[in-house]
This record gives sequence, C-alpha cells and structure tokens, in this order.
Amino acid sequence: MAFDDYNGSTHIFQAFHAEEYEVGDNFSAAHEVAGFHRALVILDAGHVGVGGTIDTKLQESDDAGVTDAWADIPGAVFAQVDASNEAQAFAGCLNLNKRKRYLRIVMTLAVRDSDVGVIMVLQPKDSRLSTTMSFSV
Amino acid sequence: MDLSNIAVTKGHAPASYNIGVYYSASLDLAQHLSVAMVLNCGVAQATATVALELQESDDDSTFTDISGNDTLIAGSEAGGTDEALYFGSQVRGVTKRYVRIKATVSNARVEFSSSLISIPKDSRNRVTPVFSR
Repeated sequence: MAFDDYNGSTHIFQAFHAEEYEVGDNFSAAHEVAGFHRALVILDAGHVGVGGTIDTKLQESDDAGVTDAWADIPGAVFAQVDASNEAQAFAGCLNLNKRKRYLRIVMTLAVRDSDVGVIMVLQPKDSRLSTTMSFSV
Repeated sequence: MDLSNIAVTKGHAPASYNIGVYYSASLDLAQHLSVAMVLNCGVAQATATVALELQESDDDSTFTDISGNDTLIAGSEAGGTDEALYFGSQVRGVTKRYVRIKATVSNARVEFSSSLISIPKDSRNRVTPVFSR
C-alpha cells in the first residue's frame, strides 16, 4: 500500500461531532454511499460514567427513509461501551458493495449523558469524492 | 486501499478541553507504513482556537514538531455553536519511530477528539474491527 493512499483516496464523514450527548437515541445525518467501496467507522468514546452505556449501530435505506424505512445492518453493531471500557477508540468495517444507497449511525445512550464522537472513513470509487486533506507532508 | 487493514489508535478522547496543551499517547510506527490524523471537532466558543500538530521522537520521550503538518481550527470557523469541523491529514515525512498529537487550546474551551489512523506493515498489527461485514 502506497503512502499516498490517504490523500486523494479517502473521504471522511463526520457522523457525530465530538461532544456530550444526552440520554436517548441520537441519529446521524444520512450519508449517500453509492460511490464508495468500503467504510471504516471509528467510534471515539470518552468518559461514560458509572451506569452509563453507549450502544452504536449502522442502518441502511434505499432513499434515506423516505419510503424505505431505515433498517439495521446485520452485524454492524459496536460492542456496548460503559465505564469498564470508556475512553477508547473502536473500529468497524463495512463492505458497501452489498449495501443500500444511504447509511446512518444510531447511537443510544442510557442512564448518563456521555462524551462521544463518530466518524466514517470511506473509500471512494472515484477520487473526485475524496476529502481534501488539511495538509499532506 | 483496504480499509479493513488499518490500525486505529485513540488520540484525544472526546471531551471539553480548557485552555492548555494536551498530548495524546504515542504510537510506535516501527510496524507501520504511514499515519494520518483525524480531528473531530465539536462545539468551539467564538474566540476559541485549537491547534493540532503531529510530533515525532526517537525515544518516546523527547518529541519535536514535524514541519508543515500543523493546522489551526478557530472557533469562528466552528460557528461557536453546534457546528463542527473535521479534517484528515497524512504524514509520510515521519523520520522517527514514535508520533503523538499535540493539541493547543487557546482563548476558550473546545470540544474535540482525535484519532490516529495507520497502515500496518503486517496485517497482524491491525486493529481487529469490532465488526467486519
């Protein structure tokens, strides 16, 4: 794999910006993945606190939920984050070739508000979909 | 690029950071080909800035800046509300064994997290994904 693989061949989608989220279901914006091969989903967990839990999963839809309801992607689920495994980064990988056109991430917090952030690194079929790097040295 | 063969390392855990300098844990690049840094920025107050840069070291003790890789996120860019920024960056100019992220928060609080994404020379060094579908 060449060094240049990051620059010009990755697209970054900020699903949940890093901050404290409230107890309940939190939904990311829908992201069209028709032009991408694969997604690496990175869950950055911060402080969760005693009793708090974070459950995170991916959903898909043909039309971002307009007529095709969002449905869970089998197996695309992060292990639950709680006080025993807080302040870590977790990663999941998804082959998009068999998936529907839109993805979103659902993050469910229970008991306590918690700090968390989620991004997706996507591999585009066309380099014009790549994210411009802030720098490349 | 095979995204299933990538290592992900926590940089800064998501939190609200007050004015100050914050270092991530270091990453040993001996078994990696290259590294990229990703910043996930949350709420930044209007006057706040956060400067992110990669540093390198031979001994995992004394770190120096890697020229040309610093970037500055200003609160005005983040809107001072719930808007946020992100960026990806690549370093192929790393000459030393260890790297870490230095974050300098100025003027006011900023919420952010950071991660290091690297390509391992040996796939046995990759982070096993929580799921791979």
